[in-house]
Amino acid sequence: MHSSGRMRRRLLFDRVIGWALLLAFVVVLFPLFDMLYWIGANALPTMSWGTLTENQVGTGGGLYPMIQGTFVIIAIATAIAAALGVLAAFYTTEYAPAPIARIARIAGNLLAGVPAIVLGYFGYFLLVLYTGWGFTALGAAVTMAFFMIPYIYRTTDIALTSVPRTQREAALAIGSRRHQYLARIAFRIALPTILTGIFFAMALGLGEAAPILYTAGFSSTPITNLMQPTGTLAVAIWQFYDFPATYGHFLALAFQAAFLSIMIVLGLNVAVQLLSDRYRRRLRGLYQ
Amino acid sequence: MSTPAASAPSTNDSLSGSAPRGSRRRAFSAGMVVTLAVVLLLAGIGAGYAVGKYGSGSSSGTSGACTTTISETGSTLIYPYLQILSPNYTAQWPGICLSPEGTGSGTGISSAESGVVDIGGTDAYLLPSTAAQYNLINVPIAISAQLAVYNLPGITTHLNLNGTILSMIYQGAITTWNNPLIAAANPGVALPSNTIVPIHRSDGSGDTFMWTSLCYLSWSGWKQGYGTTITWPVGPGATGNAGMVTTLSSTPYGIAYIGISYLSEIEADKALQYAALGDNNANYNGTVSSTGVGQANYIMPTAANISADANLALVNLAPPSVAISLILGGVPGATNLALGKGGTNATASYPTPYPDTNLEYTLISTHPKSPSHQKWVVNFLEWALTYGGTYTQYAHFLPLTAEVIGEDMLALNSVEVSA
Amino acid sequence: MVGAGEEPVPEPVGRPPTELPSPERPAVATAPESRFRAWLGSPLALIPLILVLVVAAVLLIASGFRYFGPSFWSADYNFVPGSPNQSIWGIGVFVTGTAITAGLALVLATVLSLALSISIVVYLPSTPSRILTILTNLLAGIPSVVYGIWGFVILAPYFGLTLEPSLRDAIGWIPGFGGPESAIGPHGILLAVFLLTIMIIPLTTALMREAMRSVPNDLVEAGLALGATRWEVARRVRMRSARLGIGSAILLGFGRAVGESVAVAMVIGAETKLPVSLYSASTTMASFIFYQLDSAFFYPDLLQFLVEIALVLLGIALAVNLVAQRLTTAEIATSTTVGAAGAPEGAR
Repeated sequence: MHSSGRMRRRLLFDRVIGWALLLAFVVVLFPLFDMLYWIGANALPTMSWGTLTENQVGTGGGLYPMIQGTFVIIAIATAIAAALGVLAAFYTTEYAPAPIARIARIAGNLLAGVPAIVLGYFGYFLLVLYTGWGFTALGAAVTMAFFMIPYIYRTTDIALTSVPRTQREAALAIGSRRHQYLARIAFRIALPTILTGIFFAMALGLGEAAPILYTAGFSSTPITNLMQPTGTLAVAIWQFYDFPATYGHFLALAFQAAFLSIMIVLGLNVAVQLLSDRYRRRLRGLYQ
Repeated sequence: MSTPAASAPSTNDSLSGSAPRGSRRRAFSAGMVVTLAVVLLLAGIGAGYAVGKYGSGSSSGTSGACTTTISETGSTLIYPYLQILSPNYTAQWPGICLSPEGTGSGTGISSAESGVVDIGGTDAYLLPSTAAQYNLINVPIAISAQLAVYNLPGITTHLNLNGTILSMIYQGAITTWNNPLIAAANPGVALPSNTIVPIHRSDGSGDTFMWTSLCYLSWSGWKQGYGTTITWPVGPGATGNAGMVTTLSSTPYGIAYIGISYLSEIEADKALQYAALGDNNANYNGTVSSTGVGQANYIMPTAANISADANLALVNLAPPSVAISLILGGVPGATNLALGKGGTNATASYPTPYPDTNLEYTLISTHPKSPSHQKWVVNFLEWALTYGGTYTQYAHFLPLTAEVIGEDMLALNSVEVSA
Repeated sequence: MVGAGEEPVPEPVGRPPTELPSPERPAVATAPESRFRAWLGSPLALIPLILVLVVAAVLLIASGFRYFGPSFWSADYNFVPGSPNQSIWGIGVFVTGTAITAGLALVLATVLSLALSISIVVYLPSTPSRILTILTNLLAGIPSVVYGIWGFVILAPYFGLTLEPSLRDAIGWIPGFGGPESAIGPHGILLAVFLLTIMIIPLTTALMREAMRSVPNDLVEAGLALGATRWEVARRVRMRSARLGIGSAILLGFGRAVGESVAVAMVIGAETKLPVSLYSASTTMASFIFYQLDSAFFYPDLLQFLVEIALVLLGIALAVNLVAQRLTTAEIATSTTVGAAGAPEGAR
């Protein structure tokens, strides 16, 4: 009797806490929906195809140049950051001696703690003034890569260290070389988490105006090469929001830029989720 | 190679389970991430070029791609104005584009000094000595003014405020709305006894430069100097002019300084009203009473009054200069900033100058790296000076006066250009 | 040769492997060839360090190193443009602001993220958990400027006029929630903490979620098989096994919390005096740099001061990481023995 009463209590507690944990979603989802509603209500009424396809002209027009600039800068930055971040994480977990790995991990965390505005100043000093490039998409992409790397690096690292030790020992025991273990075992198991890391780096990068404001400048016309001032959605929000509300369509454009930015992230988000779900299923199939 | 670990392959997540399906075809590797990265990189660059090349043709509003791009960065106050000028200029000069950016006056100056932009925009003039050092000239392109805006429930009229009162409020020496000094300036107005909440800009700003100049010049008790950023003795901060409007609107009994570009937004907000500012005669130092100061000494920020202030430095200074602070500048007996030799011979026949007025400057190089490119920069500024007046109203700036334009054109002649 | 003698060797069958791999997986092989390769690979592993050093070096070069004297660590800050003698360069206010906002936000975000990730990994069926994952991730995609604008347009009036006065009435006896009424205003620490919390949550939740998910299934199943409830397994098996991942998530969240500039700048109120309560306006190190950077181009002293703040921020982050690493190492040292006995504890 005693034991079954205790069991019942434990089961009840289990159920109660399951519901209690859901409260956390309320705390998180309320702001999300409130923001989405607020942005949507301000952005959608005046949104049209022109918003996506037209240049920004005078007090109106569309956001085409900023969409283009965002894609170009984020694509290049992601490429640099993913390559360096993933490679660094592989070497940190597998090859580097313990002290070096320890230092590298701390450095990764430190880089994540550098304020975006400081990276902006860093990029401005190094890539705008020192190189004499002026405001360019390339400078912004490099600066943005600095912003993204720690997220990709640390996530990949966490993913690789979470690969069950048995996997590694088994692989090495049957004579695999370490790069074979990394490529065939660890990477596969870690891939969904790595993708999540890349997603986060891109999402946070998309929303950050400070590093780009000081390195890419801004432009209302599409760029034709990487060495021109370039507009992005995040900077557009930042600049257009400060306009007087009575001032043409700038306020609406600011909200539309926010809306588009969120839609891009939503797309990425769903894609990453589907990819890693599919991948996890296959992985499970693989091991059973 | 036999280890104990290897003897535990009976768990279902061992390597042996995956071996049959671990064909090369499916092998992911770090190499793949790198390949992916390279592909993304190339795609980004490619898309940049391709889309830029073909995409701009499809967009309406501009005629073709830009053959020359004039870059500008700096003051967020000028930015809207340039943003409006940009397409109109390109319409007249096809292929020549202006690409303005609002970062801040400090960035505008620093970028102009190092020559990474064609035009640096700033609310505060660059000291002529510094400008000469970098071969830059100050070219004003519009007139701006600043409003003292308050949120006083129950009071819908324009209060009379002056530099001394404002300075004391922001220093914390006046704390309530029914202070005798405010009451003396506003006979017949029933002022509430509530505490004043003086709101300031938290980000560095040309607006702060103007406002602190006014405080500094008006009252000897002001301790914080003047500049684009200072340490404020009292009151909360708000970011950007838009932030000032929003914050003041939700702060009863607050007061804030807001650029005149936001006039229509302020007028649309029932809670907000702006003040008439006292000229230098209306200022009193600490305990001196305001006896003898009449309504005539409180000046509304009308177009005529603001334009009058912009002209004073040119009318009263020898040699005339546009690189000067116009705060309280032209009023007889004004205290002056280090540079400003404020006028002393303003005549009664002249319209009354609104004391919190400022010129909006662009900085360009007189010895450019590329004189052939600089030709277009000068061309743009000349166009803006000639035709810009039509567009200032959209930015709630005031058109430059003929005197200032004349001075600008003279300055532009000194720029080295080539055909 | 592989792995022999490094960690207690898992017993072959019947017991799940007790521990996750240690964070630094030591170079295992001892063959000279391997060691050579390990050192060869080190430069790649050191990419993050190199990047940090590059940033720090550029900052130093940009400003010229300068020490602001003993007042640098004080809480007095007074910048009077054009009067170097009157200006006092104290960093204390900004360090305090950062410590309070980032600290509180991190604690709140940790608790909430743990709840969210346990919910997603353990309790919820797959479709809701997938949707909720996408939604929490979406929070990361909202630009920080938008957080800031939303904060001061929508939340600030509510915080200043409704929430803070009633909190002060209700729980004013708790330190930080009382204090003078004058400290209450639309902008302040509380609002910044709230914004920061929801800004960090998506990142920390995602990392905790992934870490808990990577806990080997046999561990979890063993726990359930022994009659432990889901909660007990979540707490004693998943959270225990994933604690390194959770720790890393918190550290990364810490980085984001101290580094966020725009959103905090817009809602914290830019006060340069020490706060008297959680309702007070304040300034963090990052938001101060954000406010002042443009002006600093006019005033060389100010620019140097900002760079010093950025370097101190790096130093603080370094200290926190070192302490965290020390704690983790100690924890692992004890848990390798405790863990061996303690693994079935969740399945009691």
